[in-house]
Amino acid sequence: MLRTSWRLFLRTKRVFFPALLAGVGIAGFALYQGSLFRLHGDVLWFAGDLQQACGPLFLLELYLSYEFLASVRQSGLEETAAAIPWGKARLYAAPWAVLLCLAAVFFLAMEAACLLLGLLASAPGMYFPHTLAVNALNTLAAGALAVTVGGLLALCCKRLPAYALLALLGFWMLPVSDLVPGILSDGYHVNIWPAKAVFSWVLPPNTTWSMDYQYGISCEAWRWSLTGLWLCLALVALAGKLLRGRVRLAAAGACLAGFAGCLALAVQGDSLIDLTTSPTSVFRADDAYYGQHLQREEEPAFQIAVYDMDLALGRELRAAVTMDLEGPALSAYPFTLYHGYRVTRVTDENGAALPFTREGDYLTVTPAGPLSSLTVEYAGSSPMFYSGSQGTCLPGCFPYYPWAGYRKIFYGEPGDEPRLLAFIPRTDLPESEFAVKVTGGRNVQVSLPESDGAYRGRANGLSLMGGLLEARELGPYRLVTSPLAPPGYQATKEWLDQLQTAVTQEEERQGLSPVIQLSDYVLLQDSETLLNRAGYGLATGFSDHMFLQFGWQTDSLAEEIVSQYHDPVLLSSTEVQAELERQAMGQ
Amino acid sequence: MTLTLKDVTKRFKKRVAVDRFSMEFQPGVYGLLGPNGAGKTTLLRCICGLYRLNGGSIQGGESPGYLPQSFGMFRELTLTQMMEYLATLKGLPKGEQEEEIRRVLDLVNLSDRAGSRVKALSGGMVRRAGIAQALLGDPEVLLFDEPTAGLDPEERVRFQNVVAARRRKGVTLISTHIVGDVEALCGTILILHQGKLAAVGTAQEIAQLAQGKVYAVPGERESELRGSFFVKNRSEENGASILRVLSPEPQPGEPLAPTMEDGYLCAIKGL
Repeated sequence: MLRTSWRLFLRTKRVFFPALLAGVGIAGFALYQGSLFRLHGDVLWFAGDLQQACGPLFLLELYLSYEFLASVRQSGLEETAAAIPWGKARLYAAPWAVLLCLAAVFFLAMEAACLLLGLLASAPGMYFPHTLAVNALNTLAAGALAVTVGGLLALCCKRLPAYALLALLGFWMLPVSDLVPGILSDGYHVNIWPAKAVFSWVLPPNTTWSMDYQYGISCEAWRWSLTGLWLCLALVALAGKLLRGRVRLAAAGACLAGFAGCLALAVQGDSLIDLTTSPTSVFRADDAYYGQHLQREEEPAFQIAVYDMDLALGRELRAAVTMDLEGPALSAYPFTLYHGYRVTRVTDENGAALPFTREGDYLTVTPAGPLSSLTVEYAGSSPMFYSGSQGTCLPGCFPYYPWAGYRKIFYGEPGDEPRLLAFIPRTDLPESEFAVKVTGGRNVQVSLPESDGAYRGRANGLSLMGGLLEARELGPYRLVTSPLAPPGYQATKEWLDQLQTAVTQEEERQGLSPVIQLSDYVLLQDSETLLNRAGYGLATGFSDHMFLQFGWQTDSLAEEIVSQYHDPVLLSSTEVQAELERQAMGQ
Repeated sequence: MTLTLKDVTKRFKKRVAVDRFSMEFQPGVYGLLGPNGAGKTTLLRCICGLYRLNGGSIQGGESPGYLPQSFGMFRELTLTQMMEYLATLKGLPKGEQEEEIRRVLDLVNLSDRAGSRVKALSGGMVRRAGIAQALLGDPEVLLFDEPTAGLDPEERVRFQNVVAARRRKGVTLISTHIVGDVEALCGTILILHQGKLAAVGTAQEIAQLAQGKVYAVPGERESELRGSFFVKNRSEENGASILRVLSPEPQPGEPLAPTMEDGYLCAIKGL
């Protein structure tokens, strides 16, 4: 029956020729991207740009599926087949299987392109499983969904309403329709972005944006559950249409269970990179928040001597942070913790609940008596500093764990002119002892050394980075790198030696004692998120580690490193503007 | 084998399409007659299992050979490929398919068109192919819904021969408007009206329903017709108009011997 269905597919011109064109199109697009690769040499960029074909491919598969199964329905064979046990189901299952094979062919074409280029370019090992997962989600799983939905429409709708639904679905899923929720949200304060997201995030997002090489191409667990949810729902409807009696109940029940499972996973959300114009996206969320909420800057009357942290990285960050406090007994203990983290409980050293208030980024604990230690339990995420299924970007200069005192963390303020939309790299906090256990997360690298299953050390900030990362040593230097970053962004020993020389020279030029030795620090590669989106700059330095833009001009990088360690952190956009003007004038 | 229907009922929203239909079918050929909307097609579909019953039960009749009223095939495939497809759908072993397909195509006189694409076949040929696919696997129960629609007289006779040859093999149920087919073929005739079994019997027994109720009334005496009557047809005889009238009451005309069609009309009109 499969052979007959293939025969039918090949002989149905309005289905076969578009499919053939699609195959040629994918090959052509891959070749075009390959020609661009010769210019940029970036394997992840190649694979990422290839995902732009997924949207049109999805729509084509919807069309092919509708037309092919509609032709089966219009053949007049359905009633005859329905009289045969399992006949109706097999009548449609065979052509549906052909379409699934077609989706698999498209997936293989995309995967072959990525694989071939990866082999030719000697891409690092982690490129291959990453692109396989990406193509499996964006081409294979999405393709299976397209052929199932198209087939369902063929069984339920006549041509005109089916095409209207396909057009509407296509429009709603593609980025071009971001205009609709954007206008409703910005102009009328009606937020329908979630209603769009459950459709449009089936297709790969952010395909025209610059790549975060640590994060990679979008392949989050949430998108898998979203695709699975729709697929199971479509299969429930198909089972209802094609099967009978107890078999129908059993099949529909199984698909419904799958749907429920996927739904349960999907509602958990995910901490991911959202580059749309949604109010919860990377560019809009914090800008809108800090444009309406005043920040505070107050030095605390106490210090945090020791942090004992249990951090669980899943779809979001879940944490239990115990802090040993030093200082006089206070009636109120102020802390800074980014407003995206929901504080669920605060307890004292005996486990008794402590009263607290939460106001934006600020947490104030008001104990009845003296306090030597407290534990804060919280969970959540940040639109900018992701901590989800695909990666982790939690630098120590961002309050993803409680900091003593009220701290300003974002440059943009209500009424600020000029408006600098960037996070302040708070590397000016006092040092504390850290003992950190981390569970979950993808390939998580911690800025502290590991011993006995925990990360321990003394530092003025704790950084957690995870995703497409690799820890390695180059001579005396300890690095955490993004192996999939292009060659120009990779660190070599020669480059690091040059950088060290430039740092020492810069310190001497500024009349400072040359104290900065790069080998004393864990050097983590700057990511697109830290460098360009959060606005942290080419270098961000802590007492034991630093983020660097590997491969950059060593002179300008050295200047940044030295200023990180010897100049105070600037807290206002006016100060930043003045500093930039001063640098421009060569002072 | 026996096909037993007991109080079979099928409703579509408020309309009762088949109303407590009961019948035990022994091996033989049965004709299903009735006006449009009587429930014939619905009854056949119930037997095939296409509808879930709202009442009653059906025993026997698993995997019947079925030719629906509207039958089609994949136009891009050849007739043989289509028959192979249907044979596979019916679960015929691969090794037996070739011979079986040859047999059924031979029965319907389509062997010479085995290699033709379906889109090249005429409507009558497609119908014959439909008959052939119903015969695949030699099922114990055969259900035909308007099998001879679009067939020329020669092919209708061929169909009658095919069915007649199966008389003792199993149950064959034919739903048709063509009284000639029913008279020639069917040992038992069932008349369905408004979902109910209005009458059942041989052709002669059905004709007897109209005994003493058929009159040849001259056209000029039409105004003298009284009581409940039904003018079946008008004809011309030696230049004079004659009405064939069915009526339970005496009418001004010559009584005629009833035909099976007369009996059918009396049954559905309640005369």
